[in-house]
This record gives sequence, C-alpha cells and structure tokens, in this order.
Amino acid sequence: MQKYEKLEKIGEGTYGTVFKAKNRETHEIVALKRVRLDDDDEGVPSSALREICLLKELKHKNIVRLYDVLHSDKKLTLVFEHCDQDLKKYFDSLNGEIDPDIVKSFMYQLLRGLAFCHSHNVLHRDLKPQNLLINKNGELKLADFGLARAFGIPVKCYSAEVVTLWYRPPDVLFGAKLYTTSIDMWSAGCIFAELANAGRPLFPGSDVDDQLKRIFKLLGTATEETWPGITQLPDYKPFPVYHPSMSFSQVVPKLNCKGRDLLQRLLVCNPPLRLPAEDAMTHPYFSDLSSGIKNDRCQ
Amino acid sequence: MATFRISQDQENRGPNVRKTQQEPSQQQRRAVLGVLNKNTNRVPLQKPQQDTSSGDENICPKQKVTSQVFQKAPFKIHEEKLIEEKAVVLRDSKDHVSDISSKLKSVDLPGAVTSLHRQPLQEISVRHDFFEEDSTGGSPMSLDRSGILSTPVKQKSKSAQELLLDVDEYREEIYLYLREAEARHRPKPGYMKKQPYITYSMRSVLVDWLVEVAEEYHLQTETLYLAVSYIDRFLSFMSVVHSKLQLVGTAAMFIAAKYEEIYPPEVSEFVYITDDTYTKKQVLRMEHLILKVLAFDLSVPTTLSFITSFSASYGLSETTVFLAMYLGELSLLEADPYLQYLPSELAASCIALARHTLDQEVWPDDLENVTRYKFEDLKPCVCHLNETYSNASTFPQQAVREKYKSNRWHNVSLLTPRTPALC
Repeated sequence: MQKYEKLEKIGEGTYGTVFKAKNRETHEIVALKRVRLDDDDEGVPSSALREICLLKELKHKNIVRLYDVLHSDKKLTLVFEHCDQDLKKYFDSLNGEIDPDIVKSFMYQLLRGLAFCHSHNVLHRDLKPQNLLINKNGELKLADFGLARAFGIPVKCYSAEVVTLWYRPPDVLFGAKLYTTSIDMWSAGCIFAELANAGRPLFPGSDVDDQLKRIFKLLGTATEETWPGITQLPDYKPFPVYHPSMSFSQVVPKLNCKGRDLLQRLLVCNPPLRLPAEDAMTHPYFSDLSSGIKNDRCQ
Repeated sequence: MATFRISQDQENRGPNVRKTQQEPSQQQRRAVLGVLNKNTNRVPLQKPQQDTSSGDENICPKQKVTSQVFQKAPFKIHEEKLIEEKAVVLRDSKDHVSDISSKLKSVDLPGAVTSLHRQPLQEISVRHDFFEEDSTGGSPMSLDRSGILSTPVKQKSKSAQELLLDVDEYREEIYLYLREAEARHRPKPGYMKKQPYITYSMRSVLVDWLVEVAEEYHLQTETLYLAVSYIDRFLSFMSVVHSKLQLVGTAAMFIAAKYEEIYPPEVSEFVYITDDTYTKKQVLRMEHLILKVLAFDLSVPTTLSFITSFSASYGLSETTVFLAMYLGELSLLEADPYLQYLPSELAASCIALARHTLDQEVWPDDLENVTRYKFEDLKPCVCHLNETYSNASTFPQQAVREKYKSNRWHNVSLLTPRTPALC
C-alpha cells in the first residue's frame, strides 16, 4: 500500500505536479511534488536535485520543510509540509483590503526566511507570491527552490534566465550573470509593495523592455552615475530618461513612511546598494512588530 | 590531451558554444579511460610533443597498472559486510541475479561490447535510511553550530568589482555554516581498506580521467571536485568492483554537473565518454543509487570553494590562487593521505604551500584570522602536499599537471617547488 493517499491536485511547480495528500498512518496532511522519470530522459532533473539538497540544508520556520523523498525508477516524489494556500491565492481572497499588521508580519517573515537562505549560501532566484506559502497560523514560508542554487564566495557566473519577469531585478533584466543575494532582495521589494497594495503587482511588465520601462518610470532611469557599470551589462540598451513621475506615497498609499523608506532601500537598481535581508529585518518599520512574531525564533 | 585543448575561458558557456568546440576527431576528443576499460586496442590520448618533462614517466607505470590491478572480479555491487546496518534491496535486484554468470564470462571481452546489457546493480546496502530520524524529532538536517569559533574575520579593502561580488553581510555566517557542513558530509578516510576489489591506484586513474573529462567538456573545476567528493562518499558506504568503478565516476560527474553547471552535458555525452562501456540506462541507474546512498546531500563545500573564498577574504594574487588550485587538484588524486583532512584544512594548506613556493610570507596573521587555522595545525597537511607537489612529475597520472600548464592557469604546474622546502 502506498504511504500517502492523494487527495487533490494543488498545482504545478517549476518541475512536476503538486498534490495534497494524507499520510495513511499518521493522517498528517502533506504536499507531494511528483516528477516523472523516464528511461529516455536525463534522470533526476537538476531543478529537483538542487531543490532537494538545498532544502535539506535549510531547516527554518520560514522555509517550507521537506520531510521525505521517495525515489523509484519511474518517479521521484518530494514530500513537503502542507500549507493552506500561497500568497497569490491569499491576495485573491482579500478584495483589495489588507491589514497593515499582516503586511508587516508577512514581510518580516519573508526577510527572515531569506536571511536564513543567504547565510547558508543559497539564492532562491524565484521569489514571487505563488512561491510563498501561508498557513492558518499566519506563518509565511519560502517554497519552490527549483531555481535556487548555492553560491560561492566570490560568486561566479550563473544563469541569467532566472526569476519570473515581474520580480526580476534590473541587472538580471540587462542580462547580468554575476549576481548575488541582492537578486532576491529586489523580488522581496516587489512583493512588499504588492503586499501593501493587497495583491496589486508593482511592475507587471509584458516583456523585458516593458519591465525595465516600468521600473525606470517609478525609480528614474538608471545611468552610469547612479549605477556604475550598467552600460557594460550584456544586454544593456539605453532607455529614455524618465524622471520619477510618481512618489512612493502614491505607489503604496497605505504603507506608512517607515515602510516606504524600507521599500525604497530594497528597490535600488544598483545591486550592491540594495539592503540585505538581515539589515532589512532591523529596519525601524519593524520596531513595533508584535514581539510574538519577532521572537518566534527559527527552528 | 593538451594538443586539442582550447584555452579560453570555459566557464558558463552556452550549450551551443560548447558543442561546436567538440569538433576534433572522435579518437582525440574522447578522454578514454583505457586502463579501467582494458581497451588496449584503443589509442589513448597522446601527450603533446613538447611535454618532454613528463613524457616518458607516464607511459610505463600506466601500463603496469593495467595488468596488475584490473583483474577479473564478479560483476556486482554488493553490500559492505563490515557495516552492519539495515540492508535495502532494490526492487529489481532479483531480475538480474541470473545475469551474473554471463557477466562473469564476459569480463574478458572489451568492456564496450560486453557490458551493454548488464545491469550495474545487484544489491545494495544503504547505511542510513533517508530522512529516517526525521519522524523522531532529531533531524539529519538540523544544524549544530556548537564548537565553532566565532572570531571575526578581518577584511582587507577591496576593489569596486570585488565589492559588487562580495557577500560581506553573510561571509562570517556562511563560513561557519560551511565548516559545519564539511564535517557533516565527509567520506570515511580509510574506506579503501574495506574495498575488496578496488585500490587507491584505481581511484587515481579514475580521478585523472575525470580531470580530462572536465577539461574536454569545459566543465567547471568545482564540478570535478564535487564529483570526486560524491565518489568518495559513495565508496565509503558501498563496495564496488573495478569494472563498475568508472560507472560510479561517470554517474557522479553527471550528478555534479547537474548540480553545478548552468548547462550540464546530457547523459548521452557521459555514455559517450565511457566509450559506450556502459549504457544510458546503467548511468541513470547508478545516478539513482548514488543519490540514495548520499541521501541527496549534494550541496557540500569543497577544497576549491574554500580556496576561492579564502582568497576573496584575504586578497591573494591570481597566481597564488591558481597554484593553490593546482595543489588542491593534485590532492584529489590521492585518497591516502588527503581524505583524512577536511576540505577547509586542505584549502588552507594549499594556500600556505603556494605562498611559500611563490616566496611570500607563508601564513600571515590575517590568513590565520580568515581561515581560523594556525600554521602549526596545518603542518602535517602542508608536508604531505609538499611531497605530492615535489613528486608530481613522476606520477603515472598527468592530467592535472597538463591542465595547469596552460596560460589560463598561469602555467603554474611548470613552477618548480621552492627549496628549502617547508618540511
């Protein structure tokens, strides 16, 4: 008999199908990510390899737990802790209103999970609301490490084909292959604004050019002065000089000024100037965060 | 080998670029593991004419190894009896038991033909069950940071480029984490004593071949280190017959490439490099077995990753780094004595010997602070490295020396060890 009883299909990950399932012995609800393995294929996909070995090293309250891996000739099944929904679905249920304390709590938990990844030399590289899971206790967990990878010090060249367009930083949009933890911090900034606006994406670009245009329209077009080296990036092309036409108070009207300050420190075009996750966690925006969330230390 | 090496930056090239550069004729382009395969009819890769320094030492010992070491042995991977743990038998093991006799008979024939229909695995014993402890609370994934020093790392001023690529914010934490991780995922230094069918010299032949494979397929050096690490960890738990050692190496390299490379070569290319000694199915099944035995713990720090990170923290010259990398790669060839040292210890020792060789102060305080190793503690490892380095030209395996003769690596393998030696 199989150990898990499949209940329903939840969705599709970067690779493989995700099911909600029940452990027949313990009745625990889990999420199964199933990858077909074909003899004609390339064996275990590299995204699955990386996800498994990286998640095994990342045990943290704000990172989805990998309980088990079932590996047979025909398929590979990853057994994850189950969360009720992802942030995207949560947004859909909001009707445009979100409690500012929830914004703060989710953002803090996102940063805490990210700081843990980064201090364990892992880049997530695909942060977006669909990959952040929420459970009934208001806990947020980073999930889907299919694009994640360990980074060396100093970093080497990595693939530029990472991060879903809307959450992709300008350096990667210009084809940068050398990037580090700052890649995730840009996405975190985009998600912060989306949280504050109860699910309205900050930069919903239609293609790379449109994406960069939207970014520069809000932040002003980046130049060699504001971002030394920008013109040397592989896919660099000049953009019209946009001057910020909207202030952050218009972009995220419901976010208080401390929150806007944090957002502006994350959404910095020049990568090394982006605030690291650990520093972001100590930003004054979080000073009044309920101590329950803050002290709820990892593991 | 070196005759057709294209010396340019090999890192992170797109798949198209990589493929177009594999044009030279088949005999040349394939790094044949002649010794392990007993492919005596095949022409091994020729050493270039100009390598007079190493030419003649290489050929004779290699041939000797062929006849002495690679003898007939049963065709199976079986459980290591010295480790008394729960045995896990692969589902299909029964199906192949009947193959054994035919396999035994066919060992004499050239490997490429005879092993086509063989299954690599008979039965296995896995020393620990995957995630076993998880259900009881004590998790194999939990971190134990006890016993790790917490002296701050002194940092030097850096160029703008270095700043961009630095992860200063996390360097300290990452180093502590990697030191803990290297101890957790470590091969057993003496595993070879328990291997009835393979020897240190066979392992050296295998590693030497993997160095050539990595060169030909333009794989990252890190991929090579990872593959060797996976091989040693696998062999720490599984006994392997000599005829399957190359399969273990090939599958380990395939896994390492999938973990590390942006564009890993396809499995068919790995089949090809074994000269079709194994089938695609065999490579995939061995991948499966390795992943099981390693419990998917593939994210492990290597000597190379520590060399580059120490260099980033301290600011070593390029030549020093390359020489340290050359020494580190030479150490890959010799499980004895180097498996007894942790990768970080080996990395620090490589740097110390490289600095001595280049007439630099061997172990300044800042390097001690960065690495947290005192020179006295490194001394035994440095002495071993010094011996290896001094004897490198006489080794039967020369792929590492060949590799580091190129301009790309500042020709560091042509440097002569400095006298007086450190040890």
